[in-house]
Amino acid sequence: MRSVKLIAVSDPNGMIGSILKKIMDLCGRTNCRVAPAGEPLRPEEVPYLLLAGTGEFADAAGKFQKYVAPYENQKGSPGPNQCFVTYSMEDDRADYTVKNIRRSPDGQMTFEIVGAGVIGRVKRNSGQAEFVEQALAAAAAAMTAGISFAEVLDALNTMPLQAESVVPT
Amino acid sequence: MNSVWTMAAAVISFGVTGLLGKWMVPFLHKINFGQTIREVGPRWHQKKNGTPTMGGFMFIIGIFVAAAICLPLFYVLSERSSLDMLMRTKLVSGLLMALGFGAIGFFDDYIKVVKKRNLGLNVKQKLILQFLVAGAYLYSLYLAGASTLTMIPLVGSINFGAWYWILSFLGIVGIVNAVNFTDGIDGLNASVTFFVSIFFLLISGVLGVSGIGILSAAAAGGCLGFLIWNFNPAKVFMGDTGSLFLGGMVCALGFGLNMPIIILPLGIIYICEILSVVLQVTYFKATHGKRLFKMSPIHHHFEMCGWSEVKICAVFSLVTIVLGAVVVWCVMVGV
Repeated sequence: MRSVKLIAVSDPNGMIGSILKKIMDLCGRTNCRVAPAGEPLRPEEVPYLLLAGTGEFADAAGKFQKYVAPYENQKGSPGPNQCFVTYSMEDDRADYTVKNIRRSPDGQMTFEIVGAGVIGRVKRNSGQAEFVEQALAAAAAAMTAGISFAEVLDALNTMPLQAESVVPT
Repeated sequence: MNSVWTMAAAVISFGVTGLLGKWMVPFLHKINFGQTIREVGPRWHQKKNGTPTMGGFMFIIGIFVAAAICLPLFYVLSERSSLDMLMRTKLVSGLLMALGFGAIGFFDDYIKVVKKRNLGLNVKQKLILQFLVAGAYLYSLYLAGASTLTMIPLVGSINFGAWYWILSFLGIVGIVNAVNFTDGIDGLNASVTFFVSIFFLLISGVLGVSGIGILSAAAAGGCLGFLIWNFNPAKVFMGDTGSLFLGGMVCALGFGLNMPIIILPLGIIYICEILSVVLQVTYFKATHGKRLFKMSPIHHHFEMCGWSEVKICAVFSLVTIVLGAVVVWCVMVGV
């Protein structure tokens, strides 16, 4: 019986996948497996969500129930009944965006994730600029996978951010 | 945020509201919707007797026309992604909530004017209807999957859990009544709510929430259009129809931005108005007849102190502007 949902992530350095995996772990989602896109499906798995961070593997999006992609880089066409969600750092028309990124003198980074009727703040004691976009993509995928906004924000705020040093998937 | 549709909403709302006055003010006069001024108000308000009320219909129509044109066109033409169910619910339900409160206000005004009774619905009837409208709005948000997470500018995102619904339920009715109390002198409620809407518009811009930005612009345009007719000396009053509707709009904007808490500083005038009434009544009962203010709500106190209606509008608007600027700053730099 297929009981595990496969969340396939295509991003070059695996950082989005590692953040998404952290979110899934912190939220106790044990019925999902986050794996790099292109990895073969295991017998017990069902293709559930494709997070096409780079647009690569987007042609395979039709096999998945849900498809998350950057708004500016939509490749492949979502299936007729497929849930299609976008994110963007710049374009407000995407389902999820990031606004108001700011850094305090002591290195704290704060930004708001805005989208689909929700707004919430992420605060990190440290973090590189790339983390914001990676966190946005991972958050969009996590929420599309059914995790509540509150849980996702909580995970992003509390996950040990050596996100820089989180082992890439 | 989409500045074209935001601007269009403001212009349409302002234009429709302003133009409607040309027809509606004489019409309200003709059908004798002149408000009976309460005997307990300042005595010089007796001269306002006969000024038509229920002018709130002007900006209700203006805001609805602007929202009905600009919101769907914005969503259709801007190639937005499809997953906006919660935001759409917040916009549509928010407008319907405001309309619901406006309808309660209309019943109240109608009883006052047609039955020639100074006070319309009694407090219990009003509160039951208001709680029903607030409950229906919150239930629609719940069904659309709204989060109990709310953002507090200087604190961050806080998850209130079940308390979110309880506090929201009570808060909406409290705010709507506070806005209602702010209506008592020419131009006060419309000018304060104009600036409140402008600050909601600015915050929507900071966060890129276009739908709420368009609604805020429509509300601001409606208030400004109404001020043409309502500024001292007023040719028409908004009545409870208008003030309760504006209360609903303010709540819809706050909840739409997921930051209902900012209604408190942005609407500090509303809060002071309702608190002045609560304090006055409490003090009066506790001291067996002594008064804390010369009259409540507090705008009447300042009137009794010799302030002109224009000065009260200006000072109350200035307070709103200062607090609004602080709120926008907190949203932008809050850690």
